[in-house]
Amino acid sequence: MTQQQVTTAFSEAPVRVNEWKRFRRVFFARKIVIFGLVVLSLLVIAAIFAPWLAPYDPYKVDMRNVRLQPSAQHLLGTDSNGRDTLSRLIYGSRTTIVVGFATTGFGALVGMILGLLAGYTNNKAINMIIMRGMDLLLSFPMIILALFVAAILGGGIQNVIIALAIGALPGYARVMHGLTLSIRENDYVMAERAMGASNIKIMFSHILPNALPPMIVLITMQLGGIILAEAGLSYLGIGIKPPGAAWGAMVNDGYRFLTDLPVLSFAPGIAIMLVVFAFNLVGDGLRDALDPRLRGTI
Amino acid sequence: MIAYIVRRLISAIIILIFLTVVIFFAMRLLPGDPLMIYVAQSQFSNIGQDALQQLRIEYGLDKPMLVQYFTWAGHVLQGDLGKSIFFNQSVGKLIARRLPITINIGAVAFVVATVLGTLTGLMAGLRRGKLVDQLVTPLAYVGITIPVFWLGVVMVYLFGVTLHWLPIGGYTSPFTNLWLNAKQLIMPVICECVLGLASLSRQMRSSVLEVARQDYIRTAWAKGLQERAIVIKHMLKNSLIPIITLMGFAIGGIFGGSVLVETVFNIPGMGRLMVNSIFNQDYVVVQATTLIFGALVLLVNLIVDISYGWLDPRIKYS
Repeated sequence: MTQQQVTTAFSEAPVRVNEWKRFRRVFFARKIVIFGLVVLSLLVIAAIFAPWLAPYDPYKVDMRNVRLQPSAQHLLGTDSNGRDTLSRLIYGSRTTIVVGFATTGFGALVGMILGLLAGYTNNKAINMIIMRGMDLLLSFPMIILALFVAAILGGGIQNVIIALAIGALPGYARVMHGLTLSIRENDYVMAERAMGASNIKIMFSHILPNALPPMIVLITMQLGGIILAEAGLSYLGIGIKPPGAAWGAMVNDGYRFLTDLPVLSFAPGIAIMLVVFAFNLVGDGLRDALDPRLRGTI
Repeated sequence: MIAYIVRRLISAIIILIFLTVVIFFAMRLLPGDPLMIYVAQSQFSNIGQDALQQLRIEYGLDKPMLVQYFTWAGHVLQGDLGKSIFFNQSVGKLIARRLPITINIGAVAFVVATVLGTLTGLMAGLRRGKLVDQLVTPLAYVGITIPVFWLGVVMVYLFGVTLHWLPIGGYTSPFTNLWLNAKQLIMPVICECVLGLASLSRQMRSSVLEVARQDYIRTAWAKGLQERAIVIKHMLKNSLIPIITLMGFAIGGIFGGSVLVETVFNIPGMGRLMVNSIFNQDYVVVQATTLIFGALVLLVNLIVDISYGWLDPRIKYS
């Protein structure tokens, strides 16, 4: 070994692994994840810039141009009220984004706090009430739970968000509970406690940040499922009120004209699928990059 | 084993009681007096205060909430689920006609999902990277992504409207016309089973890959066993353990899917009854269908838990 080689070997040994670089390398390792990111970016762009992107007013009824076949003027045809399908599709992305993110935000926040409490407390009763409650919610199929809640609260987009968030709660709470149980055993938590840190401080500034990476993975993966559930509810007619545009409702509206104009039902369905697909892909990529323990499990 | 079953049974009963409590009190959260909703929808909408009070006493709504709950729970235990305002019929009768339909479709979907899901996952796992795997893995990904109601619409277009192979909806009892029943069941069953099938297949694949790495499998190979013997005797049972948990979820997915699928294919089952009752504001029926769906999922999970203990003896002692 020459002097040169020895120096290189020694100088390279303590190089710190750049976490961000490693994250990027693993995350972008599969090209299809990039496809997922592109789809999600398009979704966000469509939602934000809908008024500029949509070729027509999505709500304007035009009885002279009812159920037109796709053409250069109307790329995806028009529906039974003469409204342009492409424009409604673009505006529908707003419903998807709003319901998806609001549900996840609300559900994840409450679910994580409940899971954190149940996992951190030494009080058996609190733990039991929270976790058995979550089991109860989990025993329900999400869409039936959401239907039941929507039946009580009534339709409307905000109630759909509440209904779906309640359905999504147990997933977050259970994972957070498990994470808390393992993180609280770490030495740094004991050290904090020895130094007299309050429970609130330990919970929110030590356990929570350490649980975030796997939670982010779970949140991304669940988004696809929530968007599917929202589409299902809006297909059934629960959710955004007409003439508002939602993809699930558009599939249902087009169902009556399936023979002549299948594009009315097909286009929004493909949009739902692409978005759910994209969220799953990005979730998988995040899992590989953020949480090595979960790699290859599902 | 018996102690394990008893323990599971008790916890299932506790959850069931919880369930009735939550459903009962949630229904009381409805804005307004349940009686007013009833009166507003029935024929005697301009009713006097005296008659209203009469009705209130008749329905036991003047009693404290807790008493009302126990009265209701007592009726439910005797199979009396109340009376539908919209159909003007006992809810028990309504459900008795519809539940067999939902169970007929759901049971077939469950069997298809379990058998095909396990088999495809097993093959994909055993032949990792080969043609089967390259086919099954992306298809399973599509299966967890596709909206079931949209899959139904696409199939109706393809096999019903365009090719005229299958009826586009409806339901006939297998005892009336088995052939028609089978034809009508194909598309709804595909829709209801697709999510479960795909998730079971994915889980089975990774479970097989996990088990294949274990020492006892290497030992089995080393002592020169045939692949068939290794798969059947050593791999299958061990790979099935995580599958059983997922089967409980699959049944939940099937019942949840029935709400959508029965609407798409115009099937007069429990799912559609629930959806229609929401629009009819027929709250007694919503309450009853939710309860039945919840109880069914609980029952299936109980069976899953018990078979879990039988399959994996480690569980019942923990």
